[in-house]
Amino acid sequence: MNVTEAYLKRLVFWLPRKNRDSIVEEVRSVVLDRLEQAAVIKGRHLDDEEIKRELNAFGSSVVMASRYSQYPPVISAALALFYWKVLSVALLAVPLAQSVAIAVTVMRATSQRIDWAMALSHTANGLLITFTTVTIVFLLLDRAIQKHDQL
Amino acid sequence: MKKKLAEAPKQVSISALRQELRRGTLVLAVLAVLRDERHGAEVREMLTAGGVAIDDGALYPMLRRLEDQGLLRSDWRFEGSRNKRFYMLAPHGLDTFKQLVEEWREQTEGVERLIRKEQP
Repeated sequence: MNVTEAYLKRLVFWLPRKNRDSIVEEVRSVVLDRLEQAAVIKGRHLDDEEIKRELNAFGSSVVMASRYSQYPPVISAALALFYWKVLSVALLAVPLAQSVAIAVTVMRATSQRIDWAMALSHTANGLLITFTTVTIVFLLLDRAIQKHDQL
Repeated sequence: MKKKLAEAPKQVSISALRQELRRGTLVLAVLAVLRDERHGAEVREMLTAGGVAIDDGALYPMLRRLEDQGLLRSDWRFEGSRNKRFYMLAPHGLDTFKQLVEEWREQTEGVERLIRKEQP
């Protein structure tokens, strides 16, 4: 497989299914035109390294695919500030709650040793669940607001 | 207690500001060029000649986006040795273009007055 086809194959991998074939056909046509022009300027065929440089100048396959994709951000700018505030407070609350739980354990049973590995594992799980929950709630809220705005 | 030092203002590069300024006019320029049917390379050349240069890697996704928005229509045709996609304003694109031109003229006049420090 030549360098250009390998590039297009990578592009196919990253592109959304919708309109993929037509996008790749267009990119192929544009890229081949560029390579042809570059070869005319140099007065000879381009070697693989020169083709790679041309393709990179056009845009890496991931960058190109992202330009063709129109995915909305996970959290839009309108809610971003609110999201970060809530997330930071929620994430701070988890280790705080864990510390309180440890303190209570220590006070209740002085002879019992604290299982620090377990405590850390609970904290990590708590942080992960908090992050996921807050993000999903905001994502749903964001989509609901966008849908409402479109009506 | 140490006195908090005043933070230095963030330096914004002129190229970033220029990009921001250009972003708003790029769609208008593309729509202006596509009142006649053209393929991507022609669009890029005309934009460059008009002082709003754009990379291929940004132009083609933009054309696709404008088509998805119903502002452009496109057809595949052979030109030279290759199949090329030709773009042109769709009827909705033409209406939008006219409205944007009006808007752009009003804004430009307003900004010109501000630059000249004239009273509105």
